[in-house]
Amino acid sequence: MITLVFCVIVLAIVIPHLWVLGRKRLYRELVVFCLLMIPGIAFSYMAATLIIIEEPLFFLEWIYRPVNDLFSMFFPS
Amino acid sequence: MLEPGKISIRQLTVLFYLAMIGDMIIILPPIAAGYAHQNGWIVALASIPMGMVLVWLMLKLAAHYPDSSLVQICERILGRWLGGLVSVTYLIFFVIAGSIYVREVGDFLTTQLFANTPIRYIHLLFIATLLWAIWHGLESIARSAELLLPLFILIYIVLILCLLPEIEVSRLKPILGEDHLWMLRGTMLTTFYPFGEMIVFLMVIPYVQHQKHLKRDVLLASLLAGLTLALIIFISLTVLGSFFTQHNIYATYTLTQKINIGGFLQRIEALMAAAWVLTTFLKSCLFFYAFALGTAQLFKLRSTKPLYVPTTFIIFGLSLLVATDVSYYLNTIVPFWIDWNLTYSLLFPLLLLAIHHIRNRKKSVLPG
Repeated sequence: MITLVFCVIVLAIVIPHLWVLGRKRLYRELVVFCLLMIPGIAFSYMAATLIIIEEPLFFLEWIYRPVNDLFSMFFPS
Repeated sequence: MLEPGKISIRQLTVLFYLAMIGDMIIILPPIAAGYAHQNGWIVALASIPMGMVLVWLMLKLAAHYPDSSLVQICERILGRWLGGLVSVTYLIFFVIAGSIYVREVGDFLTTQLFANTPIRYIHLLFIATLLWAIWHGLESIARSAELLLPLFILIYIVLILCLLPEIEVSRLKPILGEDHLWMLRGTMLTTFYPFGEMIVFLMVIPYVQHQKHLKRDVLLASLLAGLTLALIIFISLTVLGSFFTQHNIYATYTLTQKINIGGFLQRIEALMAAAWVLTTFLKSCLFFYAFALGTAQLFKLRSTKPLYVPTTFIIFGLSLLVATDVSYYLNTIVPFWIDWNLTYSLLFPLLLLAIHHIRNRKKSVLPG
């Protein structure tokens, strides 16, 4: 049910936007709109259906953990 | 010009003050007390000059390119591809930070005020309001900030005055008795968390009229916002004590629940909640706006408006996906989030300024 409602809402929002952008020949805007809409729809669908990601900001930990570990080595508390 | 509106320096200053307080008025006291315990207020005071240096650095960069936003500055200094890459990382920062603020509001309202309302509906309402504000442009957001400032100050003053009888200064002892390394970490946190995130204003500064006193006024706003935050941490520590401040996620909100003047003036916590939602709303607005405008500038679009709806979808989705629970963004991710803020508010601006100066020196040495 929630998938159906979600699809109806998305189509009701996306189709008029695509139509307006196409009619005004804003093709670059249309491409960027679609590029952003794809992750937007995916994330929103996951949120609407309560899908949980464990460690969503894993990339922050992955990048900065070595830096933090290095500082902890120099300044042990 | 993607943004047709222009805001005045006064509007920028008000926006800066309220956005810097943003979500920090609620989440900073427990985080500062977690690192520096009863010395959290000293750490918050010590972070003000350091934070002002960060803001000064940001303004210095903006002064070299007064008509360019952060995304355009990156491109002008680093070139199309490398500048574009740095801009993309900034845009990711803006959209994730914006989502976190929405999540903070959602978590706060569903745990403290609307316990039976699903968080998704709170987010939906909040994001719909964000979209409405963004759709009306930067000028409308700035004017709203001007209107909301007296309300925020009134609530803040009422909170402080009503809590004065509850203050016990002995709760701050022993002063400076903590591990100094943890104090240093606490200072870093209270610097890069509230001040560092203000890098988003580099997306707004090109749209400010008459930039004569820009630096002075923005630095003054950052000083006042830093003092406002330090005072709330001080009040929280002296009224609740360091243990309770550290272990209560919404310590400032709990403070308001303690207000009881003559058994008559009590339960005014909804006012505090309103003030906090207002400031977080303005901060979220800025990050939403910065993401949409930055993306439009990166792809050289003629209009930003087509990007507002996709951004709304992204922020709505991310606001629920970006953290598993409250403790994830208030404990687990905090040490890495500070590093992230440090990268965007100190390292990248320093790098951009250094390259700008090297290029200019080369130009002045080489004739023609």
